[in-house]
Amino acid sequence: MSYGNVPPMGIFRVLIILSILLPVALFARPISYAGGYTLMAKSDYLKDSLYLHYSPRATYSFGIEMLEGKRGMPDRSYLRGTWLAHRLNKRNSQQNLYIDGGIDATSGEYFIGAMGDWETRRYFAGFSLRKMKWDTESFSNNYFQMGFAPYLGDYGDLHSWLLIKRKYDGLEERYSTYPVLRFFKGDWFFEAGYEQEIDWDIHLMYRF
Amino acid sequence: MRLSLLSILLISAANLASAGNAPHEADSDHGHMGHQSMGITGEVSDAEVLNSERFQRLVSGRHTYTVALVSVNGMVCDFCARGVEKAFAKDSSVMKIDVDLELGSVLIAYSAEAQPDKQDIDKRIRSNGLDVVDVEIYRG
Repeated sequence: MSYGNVPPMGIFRVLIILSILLPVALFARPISYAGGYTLMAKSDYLKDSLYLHYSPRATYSFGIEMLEGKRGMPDRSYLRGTWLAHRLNKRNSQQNLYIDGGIDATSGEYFIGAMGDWETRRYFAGFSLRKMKWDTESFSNNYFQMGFAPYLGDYGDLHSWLLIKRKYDGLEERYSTYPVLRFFKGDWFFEAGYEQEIDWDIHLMYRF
Repeated sequence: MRLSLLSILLISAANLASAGNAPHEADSDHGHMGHQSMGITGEVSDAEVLNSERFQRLVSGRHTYTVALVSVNGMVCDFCARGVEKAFAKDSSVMKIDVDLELGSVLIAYSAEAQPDKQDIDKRIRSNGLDVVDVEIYRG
């Protein structure tokens, strides 16, 4: 199977090429700064995906996600949009609520969702609620994660986080809970979680 | 559903917890040009700013300097600040930028002849989704 013009197994080949071409740098927000691009790669037991989005303003972004399904999940190419519905900036914290959605241009299948996070330099909590609508069924994919930074890095340092993630996969009606390690430095962001049954949950991001 | 409810409850609790931290916006409107500027939202004195290692490092090797000290809300992570640096790097009169995540402040060193505009600074910070609390300009 293929999605769009990208052949099967092509996502990570594209990512590797981009990683070589682009200067080393990444992070984890669905919207970048005004005029910023973000490239995200995700891999878990249901899919590999590559998502490129552009943020004209700090309040919304749009882009395309190419998704390669696993375990019977179909391949998709979503046109996606995300809107920052609420942000609360405090001296020592930031809180965000995002609304997002995507539609597969060929099948018409779509998803809508909400994401939220609250973070300080030391603590983080975030969630994602997503409703998927397929031809024959609809289901939810949700997760919640929270954690802390074991040390407070300065600007430009390598920042590390230890998190716990609780995930619900509506397609297989499965709950899983597992530890996640998050690192970011400069414009690069990397997050990896592992659970024996669902294997790796990996998220890589680069902003430019 | 249980996961959804748990998420919403925890985020709400976090919101309530952070509401008590809001603190210094009220005394933020006192920035002005010149040496005799007030400190960052009353937390840091001019002397502390001017003698700080970061400030000294920023102006070292310069006979004269024009530095903006911007106090920012919401700049809690390195990633949030990346866009700030990029926004000011586009300004040809900006020579150097220093971000302090702990204080939530940005020091911007301008070329000697530059006339930093507080509204422009505010606009650039806000374009990154952050809030400016105070801007002070130091010349020396």
